[in-house]
Amino acid sequence: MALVRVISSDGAAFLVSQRLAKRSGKLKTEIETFRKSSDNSEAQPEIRIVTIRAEILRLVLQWLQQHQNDPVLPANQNEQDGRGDAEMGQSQWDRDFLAPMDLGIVMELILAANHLEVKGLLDITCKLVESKITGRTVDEIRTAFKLKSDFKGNEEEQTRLENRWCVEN
Amino acid sequence: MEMESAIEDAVETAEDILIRMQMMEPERMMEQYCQSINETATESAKTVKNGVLNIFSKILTNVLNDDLVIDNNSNSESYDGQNPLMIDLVLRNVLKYLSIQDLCSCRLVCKLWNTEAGAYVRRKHRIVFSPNCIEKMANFTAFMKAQLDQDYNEEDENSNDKYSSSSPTIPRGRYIPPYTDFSFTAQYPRINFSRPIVRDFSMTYGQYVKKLEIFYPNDSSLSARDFTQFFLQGMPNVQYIHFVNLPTKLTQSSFLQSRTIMTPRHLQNNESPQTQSQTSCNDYDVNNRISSSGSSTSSSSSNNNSIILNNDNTIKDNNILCNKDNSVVETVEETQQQQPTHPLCQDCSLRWIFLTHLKIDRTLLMEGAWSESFLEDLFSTMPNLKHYELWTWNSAGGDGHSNPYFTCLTRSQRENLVSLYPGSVGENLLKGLADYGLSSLKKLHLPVLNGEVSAQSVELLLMNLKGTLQELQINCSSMQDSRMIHFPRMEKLVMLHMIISVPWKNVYTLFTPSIEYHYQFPVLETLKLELAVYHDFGFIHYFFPANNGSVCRSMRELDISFSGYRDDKFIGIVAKIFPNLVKLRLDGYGNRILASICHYLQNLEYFEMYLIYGFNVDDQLTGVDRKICNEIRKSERYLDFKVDDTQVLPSLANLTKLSTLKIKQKDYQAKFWPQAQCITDITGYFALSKIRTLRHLHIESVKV
Repeated sequence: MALVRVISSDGAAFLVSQRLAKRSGKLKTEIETFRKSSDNSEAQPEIRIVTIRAEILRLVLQWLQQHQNDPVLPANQNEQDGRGDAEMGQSQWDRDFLAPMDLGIVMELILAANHLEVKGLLDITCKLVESKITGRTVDEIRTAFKLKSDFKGNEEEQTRLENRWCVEN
Repeated sequence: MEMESAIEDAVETAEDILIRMQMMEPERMMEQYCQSINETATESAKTVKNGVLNIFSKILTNVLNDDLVIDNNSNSESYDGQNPLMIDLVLRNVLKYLSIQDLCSCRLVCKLWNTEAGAYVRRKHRIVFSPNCIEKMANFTAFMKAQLDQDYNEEDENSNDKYSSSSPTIPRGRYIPPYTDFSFTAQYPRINFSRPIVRDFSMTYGQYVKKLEIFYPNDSSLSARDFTQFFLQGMPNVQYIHFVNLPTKLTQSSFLQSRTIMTPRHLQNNESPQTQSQTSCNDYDVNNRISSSGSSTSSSSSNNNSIILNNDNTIKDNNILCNKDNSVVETVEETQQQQPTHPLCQDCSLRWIFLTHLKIDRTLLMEGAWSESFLEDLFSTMPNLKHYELWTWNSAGGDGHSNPYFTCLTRSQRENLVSLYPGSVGENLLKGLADYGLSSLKKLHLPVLNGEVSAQSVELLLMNLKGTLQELQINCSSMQDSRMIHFPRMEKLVMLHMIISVPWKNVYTLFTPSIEYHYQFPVLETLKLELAVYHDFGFIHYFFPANNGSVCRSMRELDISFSGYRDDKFIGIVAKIFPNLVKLRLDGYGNRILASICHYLQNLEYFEMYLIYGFNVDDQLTGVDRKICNEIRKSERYLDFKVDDTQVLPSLANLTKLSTLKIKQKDYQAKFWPQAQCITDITGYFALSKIRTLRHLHIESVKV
């Protein structure tokens, strides 16, 4: 079995099968690049992911492992496709997987899924965040997700005025 | 442990429930929808009603108390370097399904969120203007005018750092209007939109309107001049138009004779006296129009104030949106100066060049067919039409009413059409369609074929379209010789929807010999059948032949509606010929059919069914014998019964891949027999709570 060594930002190395790794768009590209540049076709690729720490990388690989037999979702699925993608992806396992995580970990996982191009994982984590937004006020959203307003002048007020047209009277 | 996982399930489906919460009173919702009846609920509640309420209170508590975990330890700091919610692609994924209210909150978070959430608001929200609240339109126009002016002024000062353009479709450094979807609804006859206000709206904001719905009753007044000015010239970037109705007077003759020219926003002051004089003439005749249009043509050609759109069909550049951009107007004026009086050049301006979708609905107010000259003018304004939907009432035999709506299409429009929904169709029109050269057509819906239509014409049409058609809906119920259409081999057909609402007397020869799906429709994924099979039960077997050994691997989705059919044999055949079926919707069934589904179709991921009056489904759904079900109900001691011991029949729990389950009830049944057929706690406990893959559960009938 062809393997690949994936190394996290804090130096932890994970040895995984290339078949599994290739389910990440990013790792797939990296492995192919390595193949092209390497003379020895037997050499084991080594990929360093400088933006993802071990704890998160382990979670991503764990998720990939669980979903290794799922059909691969197209990376840029049309936004108007409806609920299908997220719906199909999330299993009981996914729920158990996400349940113990605090929001910080989820956010890091989103970053990692985005960076490594793992569509299914990105979908379920985004879905979780979406459910945390529903029904919240602006301030609650900002606090929860550590976002700062960068509106200048009366931009925020303008948006507020625009929003008024969304309420039917 | 059980309870914990039940609560987690509840949180997962919380969103579904929240959506419904917004639409109805909580108590009503509790009665109608039930997420799942689980162990704790049945234990703690003695009646199903209490059980349901209890579950809902649990779900709601979970939803409402699901406080955000704001963790201050080091872990959560580590995404401070880059917040994933400041990456546009990630954010888009998150905002995808939020409601308008939530999107409005999101717009206020920061600039990036404003851009992304704003895009969704633009797509989802429709603003309705009706003449009895003209104040609303005036306010809207004034508000937008102020916004646009402000942006126009700021633009020169700091054009670079405004709105980092994450999406290529949004022009950099410009105010992005938030709404594009409008409806003009003059529901009350004889009340007219105030012309100056509509005119003002269309000149200020019209260029941003992309979706438009127009409803003027027959006897309302909208002159050809106003129609051209407000909607055609004033809203040149419209992509989708739905004509619910137009006033009869307008649709009786050509409307493009009147060369009414609108003044762009920045030059409009010159014209205000003229506007007032126009307002005073409410009712006018053709002569009046010609004379007034004549004068405005001459005045406009001397002033060169008109907005002329480039006639190049391929334009997709969003700069055209900005008529404030002087350069665009100037080039246009130059063009006009080269050929100032050429009539064709004037015509060029009168087009919705971005328009691809047209829907005309003539069913609401049917008197007064639109004249050919009006239709010809109308279609000439839509050179890029791709999707055309028409609804008319034709007489039982003819199709004269619909005919002009097709014959007036230009040749190139016919060749470019991608989808066609011609409403009610007769023999003449059908023959016409076969000869039309619909060489790009991918979707065709024929929901009403009237009594004149012959099988030959349908066959001819299908033969001509077989190379391109991907989606076909056909209603064969009331055709002349209601028996035979020989389908050609359709290599690209993905979706077939057949409606046969009247039982056929003759031998069915739709497919001869019996159908082999993989040959006849090699890429078919979806088959929808609406059947009336009161008399001939062989019909089901006709669509699902048992003996020819044909296997269709492309089929994913089956949707069957039928009445009065109780034989379950065809389910086994369906499983054989469609081995990859994952989605099933069944309207009308007997208990044995349900049991067969549980037995044969265990790969289903989506299952939707209707409960029918007069059946007890507990045993079918749970697999527990009916007698035992009754015992359980009497004793109310659910926990004493081990599922493995009691389950003797195939049950819903066999469907181990099921992620969506919808159990529905006909409205009339719910009304007349409220107790008729309900999901009880027995089903909840023995079946629903056992399907671990379930993500969406929709139940309309719960015993309360």
